Amino acid sequence: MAVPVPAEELFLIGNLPVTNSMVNAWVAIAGFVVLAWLLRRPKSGAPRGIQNAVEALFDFMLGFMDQVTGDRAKSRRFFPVVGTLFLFILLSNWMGLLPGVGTFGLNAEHGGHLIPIFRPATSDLNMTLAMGIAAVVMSHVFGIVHLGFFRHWNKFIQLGTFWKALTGFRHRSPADYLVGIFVALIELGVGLIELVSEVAKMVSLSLRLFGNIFAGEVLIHVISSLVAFLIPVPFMFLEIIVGMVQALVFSLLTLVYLTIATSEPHGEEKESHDRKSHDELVPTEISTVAAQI
Amino acid sequence: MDPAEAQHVVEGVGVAATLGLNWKLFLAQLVNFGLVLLVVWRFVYRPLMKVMDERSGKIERGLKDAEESKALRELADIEKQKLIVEARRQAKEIMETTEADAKSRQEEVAVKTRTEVERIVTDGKRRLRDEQEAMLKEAKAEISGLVIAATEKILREKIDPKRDLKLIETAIRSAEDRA
Repeated sequence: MAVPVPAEELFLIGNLPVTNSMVNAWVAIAGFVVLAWLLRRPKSGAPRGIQNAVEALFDFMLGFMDQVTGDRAKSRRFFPVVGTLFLFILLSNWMGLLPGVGTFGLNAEHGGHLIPIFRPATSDLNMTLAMGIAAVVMSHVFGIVHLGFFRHWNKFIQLGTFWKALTGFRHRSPADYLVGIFVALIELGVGLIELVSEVAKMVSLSLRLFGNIFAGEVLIHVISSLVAFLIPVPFMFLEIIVGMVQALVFSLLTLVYLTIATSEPHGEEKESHDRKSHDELVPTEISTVAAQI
Repeated sequence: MDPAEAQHVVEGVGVAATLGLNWKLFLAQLVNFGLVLLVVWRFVYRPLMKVMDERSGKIERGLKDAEESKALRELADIEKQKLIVEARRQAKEIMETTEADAKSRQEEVAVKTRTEVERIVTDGKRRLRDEQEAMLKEAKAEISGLVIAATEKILREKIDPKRDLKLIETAIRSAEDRA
């Protein structure tokens, strides 16, 4: 009766099991392919119909992203990742509310319960973990491209401070060396904690999305099996909002990670005349707000 | 392996399995997401952004052109106004100079005419006087000849001509004085 936590296997292609949530991911891919096909020849004149709608959406999203990045060029660079995440998650979440998703199914050979053909792609931990890892890895890729390999990784494995402690400023006594090395050791520890938090980002991103959407599925399932008519309606409205909010949270957090990864490291801030100090505030504020959701 | 540790590992695998984690499925979903990313990035985002950039470039250019042409038109208006004022001023000037010219020429003509008339008059007067004088002289000569002839006829004898002429002249002068 209840929805099982893992996505269920429908059939095998060679060695690869095909689950019901993968079917939904394919449907979503097909949706995006259709969208791309409809927009295959965009006109640079006055846009009409679907092109106009997508352009307006993109423009709105870019404007929204500007509030976090504070820089249109950065927003545009991050848009493919963040925008795709948002649209894909939103589509997957809302597809779970369509009639037929979770209801049509194959009869399992053993156990005898119904295996639905469709299940929201985001209610599969494999999917959300894939997106979470992809998002965090992307943030590191952008960070390396933007700051350079050493400067980016020096945020996590802070060997630069040792170098500075030993050579950077003219020391007068051995005590200065000791203090410098002590500070460098602390910073190394902080960097390692940051490294752990990178893993935590992946886990929290994927579990938050999975938990919310899966819980929604279960909720709707349970409510509809209690009373099939009318009563599930408010819950479905709730799920529409939850689907939207979760898509927003996931993509916004990814945007914040991307922004932080491409901003100047803290240690070098004093040397670069505090030019990033204002931008730095915004993403951290938003990330704490978003994390609370 | 320590049984407790083994139990722990099994539990760990168990949690992952309960949540449905499976590396094959994970990879498949990663590929799925990659496909979505590719489609949206390569086939939706990039061409649309290109078109949108083109359009905003065009609009910006259009706005700039409009601004420029507006400025040009204003400039042309000012120029036109200036030209009109200048033309009016010139026309007025021409009129004024023409009028003044005409007046001065009229005056000149009048003056010339007057002097001409005066000259003619004085000329006439002089010529009249000259003629009068010439006539008088001629008459005098004629009269004197006549007188000579007359006296010759009267006297029939000529004293010497020098004395004769003097005599005649005195006679004429006395006659003139009497006249």
